[in-house]
Amino acid sequence: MQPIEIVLIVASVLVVVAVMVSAIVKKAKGKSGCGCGCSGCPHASACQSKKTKKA
Amino acid sequence: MMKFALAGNPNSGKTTLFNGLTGSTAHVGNWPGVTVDKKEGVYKKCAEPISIVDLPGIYSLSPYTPEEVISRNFILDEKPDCVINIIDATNLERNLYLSTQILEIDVPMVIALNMIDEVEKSGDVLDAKKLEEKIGVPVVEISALKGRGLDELMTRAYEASRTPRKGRTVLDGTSIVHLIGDCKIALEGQKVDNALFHAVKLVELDELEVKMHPDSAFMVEEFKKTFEDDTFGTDFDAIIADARYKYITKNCSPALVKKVRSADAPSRSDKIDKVLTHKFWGIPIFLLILFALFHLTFSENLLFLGAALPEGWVALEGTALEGVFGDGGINSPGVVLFNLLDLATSSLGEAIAGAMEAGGVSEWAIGLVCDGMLGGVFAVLSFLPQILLLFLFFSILEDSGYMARVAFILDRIFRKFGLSGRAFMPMIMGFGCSVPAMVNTRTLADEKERIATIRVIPFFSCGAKLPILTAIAGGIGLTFGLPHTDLITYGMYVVGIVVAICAVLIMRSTTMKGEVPPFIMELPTYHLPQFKNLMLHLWDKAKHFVQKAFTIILASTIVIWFISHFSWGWNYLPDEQINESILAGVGRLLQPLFTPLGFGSQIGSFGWVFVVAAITGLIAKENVIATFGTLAGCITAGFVADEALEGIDAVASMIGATEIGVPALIAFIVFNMLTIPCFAAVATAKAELGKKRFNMTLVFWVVTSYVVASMFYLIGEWWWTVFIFVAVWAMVITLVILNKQGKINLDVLNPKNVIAKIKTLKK
Repeated sequence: MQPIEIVLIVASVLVVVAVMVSAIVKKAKGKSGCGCGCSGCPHASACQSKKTKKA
Repeated sequence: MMKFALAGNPNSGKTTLFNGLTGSTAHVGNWPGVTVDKKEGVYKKCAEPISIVDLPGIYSLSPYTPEEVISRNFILDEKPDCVINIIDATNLERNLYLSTQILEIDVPMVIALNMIDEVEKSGDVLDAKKLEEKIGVPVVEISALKGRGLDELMTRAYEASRTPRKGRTVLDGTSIVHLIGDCKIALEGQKVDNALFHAVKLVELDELEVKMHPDSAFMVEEFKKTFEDDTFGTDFDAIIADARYKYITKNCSPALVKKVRSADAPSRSDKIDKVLTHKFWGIPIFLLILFALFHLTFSENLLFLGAALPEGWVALEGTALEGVFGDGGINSPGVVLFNLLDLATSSLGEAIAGAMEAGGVSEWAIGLVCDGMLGGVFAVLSFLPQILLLFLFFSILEDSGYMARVAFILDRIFRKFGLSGRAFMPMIMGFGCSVPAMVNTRTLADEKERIATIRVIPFFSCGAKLPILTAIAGGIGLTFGLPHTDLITYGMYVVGIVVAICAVLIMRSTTMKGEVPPFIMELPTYHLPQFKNLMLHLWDKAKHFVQKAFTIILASTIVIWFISHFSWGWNYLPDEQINESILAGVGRLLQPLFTPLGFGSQIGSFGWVFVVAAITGLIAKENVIATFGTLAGCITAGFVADEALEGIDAVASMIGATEIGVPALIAFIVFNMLTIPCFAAVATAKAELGKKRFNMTLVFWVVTSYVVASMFYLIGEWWWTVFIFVAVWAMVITLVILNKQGKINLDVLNPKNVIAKIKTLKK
């Protein structure tokens, strides 16, 4: 296996894991799930978790 | 940190001021009800940083809709250090009505006379100092759009916030002032904050106040029995409203000196409205404008010039420009931009594939990069210009003030289907994204109307669904040689709207029965859209689309590539053996479910790709075309080409490989357009509807998409089935009409009643 092939596999796994982790972290923090930013979004509260709303 | 609240009537420019003060790029639009939730930013130019809170627009502090409650509760409960009351100076009297209510709250207050430049332009003179003397709070002239007077406004607001202000009422001298006084004393005895404000609301018998202070409400009811006003009888609400307007007319209106005009001279907006909101021509003009937008975005025969221009009028054949401008050089701007980006991404893909081959990289690694990563991402990314162009057109219509008019002209028709014209605004927002559209339904006062609207919003094709429509329509054109494929795209948008109307009609006649609330909407004045505003909208949209392409879409396509190149025994499979992969196995398992829709078991050995694409679309709709982009290159390796295939080419290759027919392809578009939307929209629907209604909504989406898509397939495949569907629809419509006339009762079809009936029978 060439080094570039190892890099490719690692990069692919990293991308998938990073997207999943960031989605979970965002959800936990009560941030947007639509891919858009929450700053200045009038609809941010609709995406926020119940936990955050209570806090 | 100090907190200042921005409060004012809808469409008075609060969000524009918020953006000007905080440097934010929050969405602004020229129609009332853009902001449905509060949002915060920081103003840094004062002695200390100040948190600015933009509140949804309200006409008074007696709220009716959910977002109006947000504004009232914030001012009363969160106790901001200062309330900046923004007033549309071109509409002074009506806007000051809210000011007279805020005056009753114990909070420092500053009035911002927004759009003062418009007042000056019209020749009127507004004396801010005179107004300040009369009202007793600072008044500052500003133009939020042009950034005029913002620093002065914040300086005055900062100064005002240093001194506590006791609420005062403008209702002195009315026949119920003593009752207000008694209620105030009673509330102060109960240690209620803002006793004056609550006392006035109590006398108005405001629903929220009566619930909170039933004892004092009893006092008002008792007083009512012995009271009689000459004009309004015992309608305290009317007496108070009348007193407020009398105060405004007497004290504030003299500050405004209006230019002498001919009494019946129509304004510019009136002149435009005579045409655009015409009783008969209003709707055809709207449809024509809509068609023009889609034509400029998708057509390969701009202004239908193909028939008029002589063949070969421009020598593009065989040149690189042919691929961009079309063989007749008459592609629409949207298609030209699409082709340009497509050319760039294809060249980049080929260069990377070439470099990898030259470097001796193995076949699977090239496949992963070219098909798995680039194929999927580029397939979606190439549609960005068309999405942005369509979004730009909609933004222009919205900013100009036309969209608010469309809500007005559609009210007459919507009413027949059980909705008010107000529901049009969230629906039209659905063409951009279902998430904000669903949240915007909070402006609808009637709960059942709101639920029905949320359920049909995904039927209005959002930007993410545009690649599905365009790529498959393009694929049909490329494979079957059909001209005007843009008409398929436009037709699909119309199908979405028609299905939404039919669904609302059925819902409002059965499970969501109820009176249509009256539609009152202030029509904004027409103005030229602000270039900066439009560019901010576009930048925001482009940024999020690209972010999504390189995160969710990229991750999805990598996963798809891996599970399509590994067997259940976790052995690597080359492109030729893709039919033995995990993904193919799962797809084939689900294939029979889609047989009535035409893309199930009846299509070729690679038919499972359509099923997989529809499933991946549940994460993000862009994934549908990304899946084709990822798999087409592998599947067609032995058929067409060995390079990464993008967008329309990928679909055309899949059509070739599966030999799927046009009716099934149309059914595929319809299914994806109407079925469960993306994760984000589903989460929003759940938050807005509550669990029980949300579950019903999921069923509604699946059933509607399945039924309508199978209808398209069956009619397309066997034309005579159209008679069956016409008969069924005629029966449904007849039942609905008879139900409306009270001749039959469709309540028996209500699931609640059905369940109750079953329970009774069981007993």
